[in-house]
Amino acid sequence: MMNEVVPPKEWEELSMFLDEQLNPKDNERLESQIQQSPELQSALDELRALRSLLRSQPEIKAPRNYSLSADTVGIQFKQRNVGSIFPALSFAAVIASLLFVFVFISDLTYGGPQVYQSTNVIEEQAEMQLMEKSFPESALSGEEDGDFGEVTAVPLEPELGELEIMEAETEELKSVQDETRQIEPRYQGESQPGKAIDEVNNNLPHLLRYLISNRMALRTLEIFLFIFAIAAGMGAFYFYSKRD
Amino acid sequence: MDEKLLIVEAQKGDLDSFNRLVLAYQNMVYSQAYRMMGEPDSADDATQEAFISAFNKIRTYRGGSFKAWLLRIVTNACYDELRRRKRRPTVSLNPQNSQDAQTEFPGWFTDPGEMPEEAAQRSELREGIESCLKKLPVEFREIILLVDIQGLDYKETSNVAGLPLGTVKSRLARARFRMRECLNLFGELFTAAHRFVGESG
Repeated sequence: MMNEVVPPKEWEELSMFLDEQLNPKDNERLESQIQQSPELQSALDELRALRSLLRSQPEIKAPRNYSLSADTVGIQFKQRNVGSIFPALSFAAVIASLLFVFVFISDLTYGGPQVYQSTNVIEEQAEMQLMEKSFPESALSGEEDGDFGEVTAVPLEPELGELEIMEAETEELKSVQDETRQIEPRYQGESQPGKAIDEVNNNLPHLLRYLISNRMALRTLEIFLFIFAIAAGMGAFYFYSKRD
Repeated sequence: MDEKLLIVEAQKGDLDSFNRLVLAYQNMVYSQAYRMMGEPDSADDATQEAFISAFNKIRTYRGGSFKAWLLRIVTNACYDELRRRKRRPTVSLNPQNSQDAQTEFPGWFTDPGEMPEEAAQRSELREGIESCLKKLPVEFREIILLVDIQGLDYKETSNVAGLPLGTVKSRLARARFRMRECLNLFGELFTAAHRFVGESG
């Protein structure tokens, strides 16, 4: 006769007691309860009978031989590879799309080669100053006035030797170079729009700075990323539709 | 050949050694799949998938019970198959009665040496047990199959099912409770079960 008075909690404890999964203290407590309660004893008997019954169930004979052939394993390898292509392609499509958006926004935000124009202007100004120091306006204007012959015709002072002339020229050149070097620090201290742009440029990765300064490379990368994202997305869709 | 040696050879990619393991375990694996899935076609697919998966993963086997390792693979294959069948339902070609239970019970369940009446009663009992197992929710069925039919201990079952020990204990108790309730519906079946168990024990 089936036992129907044992609550689920005690049934669970009986189940664990049967499989010797209770700790020694609970095991001892439940054992004494079973001895005092015919309902628990009956439930335990039923559990024991059920477990024995289930354990006596025979194995079901396989309807065929499941030995694998090389072809079967080979085919499954291919199917597995196809299955692993879908997540790889979808991941690549997402990454390419993100990169494309990033490069495109960078291009719009930093303005490409125009950014570097500010730096180039400063460099050109420095070169001009160097030129002016090396060739004074009087000399240049004399050349323009056709007095070049007079300048070259001025005789050298008899007390200066060639060595002294070279030293004087070297000193002159050094002073011009020093002044030129001071242009950038002076520029940094000033509040000009180009300063902020150059600071941003300096913080960008080298590759990105190169790309921004080279519009052709940037456009090529944008087109490549765009095509790659589309192709990977279509490939992922294809393998998704082929997936079982 | 020794099982461990066959496993080592199979890990080196020797398909013949692996197939000898398949022959040794295919009844056990198919039984588990059949009882998990509740019908032969799905069990067949799950068993095939399980052995292919086992061959592909055998390098990850790191000792311990090979039976438990295989049971873990076939259990996962059964869950995959159940999900696949849920997405794409199929109609079984085997005849079924109104209670959705298979009327044709496998002939290999009967012992040729038994008396006809006894064989009929035992067959009825086995049919009743299979029917009750089929009615259990799959998460309970999985646990009772692993512990009470395959004979794994709680820790092995926990590893195979990927569940905490406490969950295994509670699910097993509830599964046994439901099995008892189900068998109660068969009237004298459980009494007969006592007798069969007593005879076999």
